[in-house]
Amino acid sequence: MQDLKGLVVENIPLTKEIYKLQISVPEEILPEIIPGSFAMLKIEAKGVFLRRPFSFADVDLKTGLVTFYIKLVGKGTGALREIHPGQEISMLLPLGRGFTVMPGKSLLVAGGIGIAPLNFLAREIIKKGGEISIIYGVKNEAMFIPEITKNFKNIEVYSEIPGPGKKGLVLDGLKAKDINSYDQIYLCGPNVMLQAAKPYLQNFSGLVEVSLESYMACGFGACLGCVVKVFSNNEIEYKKVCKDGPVFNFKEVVL
Amino acid sequence: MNLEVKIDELTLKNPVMPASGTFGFGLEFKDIFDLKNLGALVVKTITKNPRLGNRPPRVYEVSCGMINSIGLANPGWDYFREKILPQIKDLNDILILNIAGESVEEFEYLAREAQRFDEIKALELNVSCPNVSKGGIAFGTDLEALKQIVSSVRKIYSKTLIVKLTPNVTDITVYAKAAENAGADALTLINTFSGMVIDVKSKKPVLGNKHGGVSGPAIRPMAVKMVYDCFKAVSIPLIGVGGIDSKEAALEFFLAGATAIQVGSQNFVEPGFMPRLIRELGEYLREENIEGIAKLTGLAHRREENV
Ligand SMILES: Cc1cc2nc3c(=O)[nH]c(=O)nc-3n(C[C@H](O)[C@H](O)[C@H](O)COP(=O)(O)OP(=O)(O)OC[C@H]3O[C@@H](n4cnc5c(N)ncnc54)[C@H](O)[C@@H]3O)c2cc1C
Ligand SMILES: Cc1cc2nc3c(=O)[nH]c(=O)nc-3n(C[C@H](O)[C@H](O)[C@H](O)COP(=O)(O)O)c2cc1C
Ligand code: FES
Repeated sequence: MQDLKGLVVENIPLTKEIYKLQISVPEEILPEIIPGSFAMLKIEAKGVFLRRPFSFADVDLKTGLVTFYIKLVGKGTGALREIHPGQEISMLLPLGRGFTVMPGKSLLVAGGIGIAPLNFLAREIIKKGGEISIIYGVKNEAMFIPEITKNFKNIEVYSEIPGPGKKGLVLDGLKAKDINSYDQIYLCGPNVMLQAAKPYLQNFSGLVEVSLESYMACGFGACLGCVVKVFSNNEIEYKKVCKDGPVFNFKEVVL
Repeated sequence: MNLEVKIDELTLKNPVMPASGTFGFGLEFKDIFDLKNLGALVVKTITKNPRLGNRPPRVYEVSCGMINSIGLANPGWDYFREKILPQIKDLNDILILNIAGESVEEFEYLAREAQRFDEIKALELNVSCPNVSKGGIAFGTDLEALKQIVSSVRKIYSKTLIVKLTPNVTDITVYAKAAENAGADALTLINTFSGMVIDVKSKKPVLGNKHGGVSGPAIRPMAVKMVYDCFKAVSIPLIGVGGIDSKEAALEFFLAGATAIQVGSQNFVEPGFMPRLIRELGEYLREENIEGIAKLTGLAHRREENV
């Protein structure tokens, strides 16, 4: 982990609720940033005390830029939307345990802003010669990032209310697939999506990984604030999302 | 300029140390700075048996601070002694073990154990924990229980004994005096303020444990006053803690009567804050031509008398 200053290069709205933030970071740190890892950003705004966690949505080794897709939620994400190119931002990075990139066919299942880390993962899998399919479910037009669909060939979009792609839920996409034709599955999305997907994936024999969220104070394992329940080795344990995760074995997490 | 301070028999090379529970066992910060720079290393509260801690959510932001209900999650004394102590004993010359118990016996047990380890230089008693035999009311809010814990530990533990008081009492000076009389060598002031946040949307408390402890700059004025009041009430050294996020905030505590200070929540926001603070305090002494940080302790009181 390093505490360093990045330089904002671009900050543009993609939809009413989502914006894309691109930050230039020192070159040495880039190779350490892997899909599933995240940064704690310091947002200089009234009433914001703690840093906020955001997953890397992409890293460009050539330009030295990291990309975040950010959903407008409250004061922190509201203030961050106003940061301008040329401004500096303090970042703790890279944090957390990322996805295990595996060869073969991977199915990526994203709900809403959960597409952010999966975008990075998909690029990495392709770079390493693997094959991917993506199910990308959104609530409505405002939650849909059009540029994602341009990046990949095998991507199916579902929208809860009529909008981009087919009408339906992520789960409809999952049901329509022969999941056993994949070697591994990766998920990121809201808890309701994960809960709904759980029974469908319980008997899948390959690796299933999920990137989880929780409220964080530090992001690097010092406060013990971010825990989730995990069932492993026949024991219920609390694991730190920031350090033991955010990527966990999906079959082990208690949602 | 001299940042050295004395707490009982211990000489700290500077007055800055982490507040228990906000610095893990120090290992998470090793990438950011050399922990040798700190005045002392204070570890997360250890209990006799491992504790899972409270159900999440356990942390949340509040105006100018945060609230937590970690619930003293820790791996327990045996694991600490076998697996963690060997890893951290050389990180800093002064290792302070913070302990808590559900009963007087547990405090005694841990004090007896700590006494055996030369690498543990001092004990800090966290008395903000619930007393199981009294239905869970915090030891530190029950004057008789506080006296009993401090005097029992004192009988067993011969090295530096620090008692960390809770602010959740009507008059903290009464508790400070009681701890001093029962044998404390120093006091840490203060632990978190009891509080709660309710989610208006779900109409439920935000924390899994419903209530928790408030920390950060929000509590600083109260913490400073408690140090100020206790400085008049007792004659043992005080370690000030509560919302320190800048050199100025730290100076307030020294002026109020603190000999040393602890940094808590700010470690989460800026993991390199403590070494920066140490540097800035040194620069301050040089600029102001003050020969030692110890000269500042309680200065706000002397000014008061001169008026
Ligand atoms: C590892 C990790 C990676 C993340 N990656 C991304 C990402 O790539 N893009 C993105 O847009 N968001 C991401 N998030 C979520 C993001 O951190 C929160 O949305 C953000 O912190 C909200 O800050 P705020 O100040 O705007 O909201 P606040 O004003 O703090 O809160 C507004 C509301 O949002 C809820 N909230 C706040 N923080 C969280 C959280 N961490 N999880 C769930 N609910 C929360 C609060 O309970 C409150 O109801 C990630 C979270 C984690 C833990
Ligand atoms: C997440 C968190 C965990 C804490 N855990 C402990 C603990 O285990 N033992 C303890 O004595 N105090 C604990 N505290 C209290 C701090 O040591 C400190 O007294 C308090 O946070 C006030 O300081 P601050 O405002 O600088 O954070 C904890 C505080 C926080 C925020
Ligand atoms: S956020 Fe502090 S331990 Fe995970």
